[in-house]
Amino acid sequence: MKRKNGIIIRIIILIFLGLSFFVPFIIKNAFLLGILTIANIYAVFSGSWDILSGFTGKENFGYAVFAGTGAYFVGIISQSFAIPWWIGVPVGGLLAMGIGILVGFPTLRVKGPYFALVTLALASVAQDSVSIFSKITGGENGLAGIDFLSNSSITNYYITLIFTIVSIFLLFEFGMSKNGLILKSLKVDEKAAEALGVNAVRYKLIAFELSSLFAGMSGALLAYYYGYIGPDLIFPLSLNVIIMAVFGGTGMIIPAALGGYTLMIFSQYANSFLGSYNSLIYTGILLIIIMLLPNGIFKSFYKFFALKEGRHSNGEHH
Amino acid sequence: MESIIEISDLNKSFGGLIVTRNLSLKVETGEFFGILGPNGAGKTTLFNEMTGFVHPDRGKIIYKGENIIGLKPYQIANIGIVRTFQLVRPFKECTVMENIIIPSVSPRMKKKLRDHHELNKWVKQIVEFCDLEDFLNKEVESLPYGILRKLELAKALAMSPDLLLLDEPFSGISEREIEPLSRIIKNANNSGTTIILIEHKLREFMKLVNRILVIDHGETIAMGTPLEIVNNKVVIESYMGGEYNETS
Repeated sequence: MKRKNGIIIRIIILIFLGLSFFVPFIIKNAFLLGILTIANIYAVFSGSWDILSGFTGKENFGYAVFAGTGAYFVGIISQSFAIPWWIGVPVGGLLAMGIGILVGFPTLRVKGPYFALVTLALASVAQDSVSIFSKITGGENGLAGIDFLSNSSITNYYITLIFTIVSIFLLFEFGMSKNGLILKSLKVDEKAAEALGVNAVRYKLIAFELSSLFAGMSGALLAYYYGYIGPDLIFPLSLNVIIMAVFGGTGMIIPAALGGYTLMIFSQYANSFLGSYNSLIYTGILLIIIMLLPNGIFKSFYKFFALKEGRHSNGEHH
Repeated sequence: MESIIEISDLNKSFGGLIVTRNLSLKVETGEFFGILGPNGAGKTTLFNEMTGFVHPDRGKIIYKGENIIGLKPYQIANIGIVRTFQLVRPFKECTVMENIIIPSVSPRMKKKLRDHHELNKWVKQIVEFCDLEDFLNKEVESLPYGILRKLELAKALAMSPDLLLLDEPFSGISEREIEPLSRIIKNANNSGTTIILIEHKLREFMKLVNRILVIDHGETIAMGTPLEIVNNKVVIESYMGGEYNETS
């Protein structure tokens, strides 16, 4: 299958990738660089939510559980001994995958809204558990004492940047492959896909495992960046990641990831500019954009260019 | 001749409603078999039972010597029994080509098409067979119903079925569109695919099939060649009677 990606889009992506490597040379301010570092991680949050929920239509309302598994693993272990990030991140991801198997196996077999309901319930169970087992989890105060990613904001930036580029590239490749096409067919009509030999449960599980793997890894990375983990960082993610992915556009990975990236930057800025009106204005703008561009801002952008190019090349053929 | 599928003593009821009653049927390899019956006679249910979407209460469905009851729909599709649905079910937001690629990368076809090159060739072959060349890169939302009917057939044929179950493939399209579609179906049968057809458009139905099973209320009321069936009193009564009852 040939990709339809337009030349213009590729050039734009390459320019942005190139720029992202030069950012530390331009932005010397550690606070601003910190925002971009967090935004990198958020891009993986919303991108990995997309591979399951955007592609197959199985909405995960409990994303925080999977990101939290990775993050809390790092936090809890670090209370006993220091664990380097390059071990903590992959192990955190694998643990989240394990949770994914436990949740996905019973709930993705049945049709209907069970998966969404279970993930929703799971998120609140997890949040309660954090309070109940506060001796281990630190409760509302969270857990500090995690080794920082590094002592340099520039190194932090590059570590997260490379993590993000590799993660999004892998998710994107999977999403745009024939496997991704099959995931999409499940979203449209699972029964019709099964009649054509698609093992729907298997594919949904694969997507869910991928999604939780990257959720766990990026959650762990977040913990290393802050040197701290707590409910304030993790539990708002369940909702935020959905908003970010929908804002960017679902079903194509990169738009969703860009949604996470830009909204993270925007919300951090809004925080310092708008003060207490922050969330009101933030959600207001979001609502307007989602209403105007239901496909998501970056997906609409892509379609606009792809269509323009498509018309152009059709014209050349005749 | 060898039978490709043999159904014996099949029974199914939903609550108190009996939808399949003591149904037995044997279809030979290469046949073009027809199933006739008034609305609600249990024709589609029979397809659902044969493809694993509905589990029969009792009876056997032997396909190529093995009982397939209990297999899941995707497993049945992968051993070569492929169905279409009464209403077209294209994969929206995908192009015609992508719709055909989905069955072409099923486990069944992965065994037959070993690499990218063979896959492309296969998709092209199906597209040509079903006369869809002009729509290859069109998203399915933009296509008229007649083309979607062809696509439905193309998706099923892309599974390279040994037994193809067609559920009213001509419904919802104009007389003008029936003829080419009918020709594609006939060609599929000529190239070796055994077909079982459910269809209400009798003129086309009678032209295509070589043997007919008539069912009503889930049970067999007649079986024979098209000529025998059109002259069968019980069939005429049941078929017409059924329709009169509905309108009254």
